[in-house]
Amino acid sequence: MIPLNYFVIFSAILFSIGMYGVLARRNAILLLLSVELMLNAVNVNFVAFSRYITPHTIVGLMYTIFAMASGAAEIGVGLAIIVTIYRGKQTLNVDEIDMLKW
Amino acid sequence: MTVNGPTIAFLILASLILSAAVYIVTTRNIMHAVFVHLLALSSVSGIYILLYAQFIAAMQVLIYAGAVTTMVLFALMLVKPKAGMEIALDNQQKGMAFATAGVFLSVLLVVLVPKVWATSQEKLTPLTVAKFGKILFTKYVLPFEMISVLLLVALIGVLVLASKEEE
Amino acid sequence: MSEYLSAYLNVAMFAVVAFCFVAILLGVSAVVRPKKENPVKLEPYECGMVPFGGAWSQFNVRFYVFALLFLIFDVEIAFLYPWATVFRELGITSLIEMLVFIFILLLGLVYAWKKGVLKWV
Repeated sequence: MIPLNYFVIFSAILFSIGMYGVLARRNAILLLLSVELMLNAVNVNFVAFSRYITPHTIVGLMYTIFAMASGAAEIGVGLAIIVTIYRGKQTLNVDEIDMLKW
Repeated sequence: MTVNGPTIAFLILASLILSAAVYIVTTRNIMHAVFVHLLALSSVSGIYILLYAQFIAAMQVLIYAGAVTTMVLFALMLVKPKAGMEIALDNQQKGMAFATAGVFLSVLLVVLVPKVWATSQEKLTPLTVAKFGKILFTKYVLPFEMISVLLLVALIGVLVLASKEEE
Repeated sequence: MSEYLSAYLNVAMFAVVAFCFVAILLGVSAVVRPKKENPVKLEPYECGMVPFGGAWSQFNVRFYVFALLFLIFDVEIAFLYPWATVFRELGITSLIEMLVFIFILLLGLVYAWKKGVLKWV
């Protein structure tokens, strides 16, 4: 059996890579892709803990299911917002999208 | 360290996903990023298979690899090529971002590597879709119904955004 | 190795074979083919006509709404699988649960219909 720590460390690394992407990327769509990577890292963690510590319940898996559904909703709404902003401002650079600051 | 089939499969999948992730956060071509993202997401479903969670793996392929990638490609079609292909990195913030993520990761590793988890002693058995469904439709009905409300809200939100567009 | 994992080993082998098949075909043809590029050859193919505009043109926003409807109902259909496996066991209760789930999502479809986004003008 694969030790639980392998999964946990794997998802820690994946989460950090996604975090770097969110902080360093300036293209709104690439930013969303990085967020998806982070979400996946969290999901792997949930499933691993759920399967290894409480194999007979599905509590952790429920979280994963919910996170997947909200991830899908997030991508749908997020991309709609990005497309709307793009039509108004002709840019995908999040540094230039600062209307809320004024 | 134990060397057996599943562990080797895990290591192959993990290195595939991590290198794909590194490619996504460093590439300058957004189309390549989307397709490599698809590869990473499908490989994550292999990780779920190794965790004996079949239904989650199927959901991963259906929702993430299938639908989410399609959505991102659609959004790319809706913006002009130049904006999509523009150089995506901000070099001023790159160093800071790398430092932050690095510090975060090293803190996590320092905590996690020596940790011994109180895992259950039994061997993992496949969680069949039937077993999963039985618990889902008895104990977790409310979260299940909430998912549909969440999706409804997302749908209405996008319709409102899109209809503003038309005016 | 357990029966479960060896079943998925087939899937993994299939994926590897499929990947290698494409890689070998593309790789061999890339090595063997003569490289005589000219501007006409590099143009996007448009049934033999001279193409106008790039291959990556801007699409209508209406497509996005259809993609989103696909996404929403894709998530819904993913939940029909576990329901189908336990329907016999749980009977009418699970039917009602699923009908409520589908009904809530149908409200969204009805809203989209009423708003007229499904019409192609």
